Amino acid sequence: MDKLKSMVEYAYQKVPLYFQLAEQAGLDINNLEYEKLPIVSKDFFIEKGSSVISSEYMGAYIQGKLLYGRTSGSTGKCSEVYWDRIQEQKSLFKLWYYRKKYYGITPRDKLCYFYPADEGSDQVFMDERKLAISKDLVVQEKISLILKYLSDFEPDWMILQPSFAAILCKYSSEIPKKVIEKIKYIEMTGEYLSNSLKEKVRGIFSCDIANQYGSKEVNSIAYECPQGNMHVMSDNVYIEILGGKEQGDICVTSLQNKVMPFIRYNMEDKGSLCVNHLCGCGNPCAILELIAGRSDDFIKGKDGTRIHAYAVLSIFHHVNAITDGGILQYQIIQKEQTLFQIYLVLDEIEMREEIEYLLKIRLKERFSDMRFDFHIYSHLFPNKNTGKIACFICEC
Amino acid sequence: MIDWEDFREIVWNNIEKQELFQKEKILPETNLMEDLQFDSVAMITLFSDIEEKWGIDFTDLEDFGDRFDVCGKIYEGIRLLREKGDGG
Repeated sequence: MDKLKSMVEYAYQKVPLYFQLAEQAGLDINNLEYEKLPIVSKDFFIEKGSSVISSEYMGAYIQGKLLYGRTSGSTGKCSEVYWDRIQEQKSLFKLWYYRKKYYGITPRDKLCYFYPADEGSDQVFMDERKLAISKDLVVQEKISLILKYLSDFEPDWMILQPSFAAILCKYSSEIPKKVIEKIKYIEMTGEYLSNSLKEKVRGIFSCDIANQYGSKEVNSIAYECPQGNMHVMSDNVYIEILGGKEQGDICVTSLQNKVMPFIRYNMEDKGSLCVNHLCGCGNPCAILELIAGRSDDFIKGKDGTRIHAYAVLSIFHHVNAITDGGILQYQIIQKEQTLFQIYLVLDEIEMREEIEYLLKIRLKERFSDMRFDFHIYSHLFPNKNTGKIACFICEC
Repeated sequence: MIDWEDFREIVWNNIEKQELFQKEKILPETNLMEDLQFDSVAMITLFSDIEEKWGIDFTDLEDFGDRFDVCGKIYEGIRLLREKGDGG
């Protein structure tokens, strides 16, 4: 809690954005109470421009001496993020430490990962230890080229988005055996990871799989231990679930980034937090459970009402559970107020009839005046701009 | 007994650009990232080497998060863990 207090005091004394917030809220910056601090949204942060930069680092910012990145925009909002080199390295340290402790992965192991298309013009970077492939190749469906790079490089581990892991599963018969046998660990990040997909990937690669939840703003937020629990990276962030309910919006305060402090920052993801537990891995940090669907995903009703998309997503989770992981991926697009297109990737095509039937019954019960059209795909490709797949999209 | 010189040697061996530094200037107050340009990757390699050499696990330290970047604190952590392990 000392780190949290120290970061909050720092932000409210050094960052123009937070002065303004303190003034608007009538807060005494010499006597701040954490629970009374305002929640900051992504929109608000983006529109504030350079007032989010600490005065201590403004010189370095102007001189271009800070590390710079952009968020993926998977919430529809893309923002710039700045870090001091040392603070950024500190924020990455614990993740590396736990990769080694839990899964035996060290920086000496050969890594393959996929980077957002706007981060470089070259599509592939390769050196002795790293293979970086542009997500553009995935979106362009150049799978055979990607498999060739994997075959030439033979990674020990990979960082993948679940949507791309699903694609690799689809093409698993074309992946050279030596590649499958060499991979000892796959880290999933960037999108919601279903248990069914996780087990499918584990079945094909026979390796450790871990889910990692993070963002460019704060780096790693939670990381899955071998017991299957996502422990909060408490050296990096202080995390809250808003609303005082069991499940709600995930809100983080960065404990490392002093250049652009994120204080009570709404991630626009939903989850729940368990603080009293005895995890078999021995890590005492709180356990985060992520829930599919962004906090600002809403279904538009005919009469102008809004229903959180989780009302639909929970039906898919339920059907997935009762069909023992029959749905590997899904995407729901609301095309009009009474029309939804449902895209499914199934574990076994023979289950199509059963799964569609189960989904239709439940969807009709809940949304009797809406129409749901089903489409079965062998895989779903991520959005070419964000490089990710959203579970729910409203296009009306 | 954990010898400071042994510890300093391990730190020195993990410095990427040794030509920029002097081993004898690695002191208890030296910060790995700020003074010796360690990044998170080099830190992990260092901690792996330390754990292997002395048979310890840093996560057994409750305040590990507060002591992973300053040489003196890491050295003290190693001593504490060794004492624990020896039943001390």
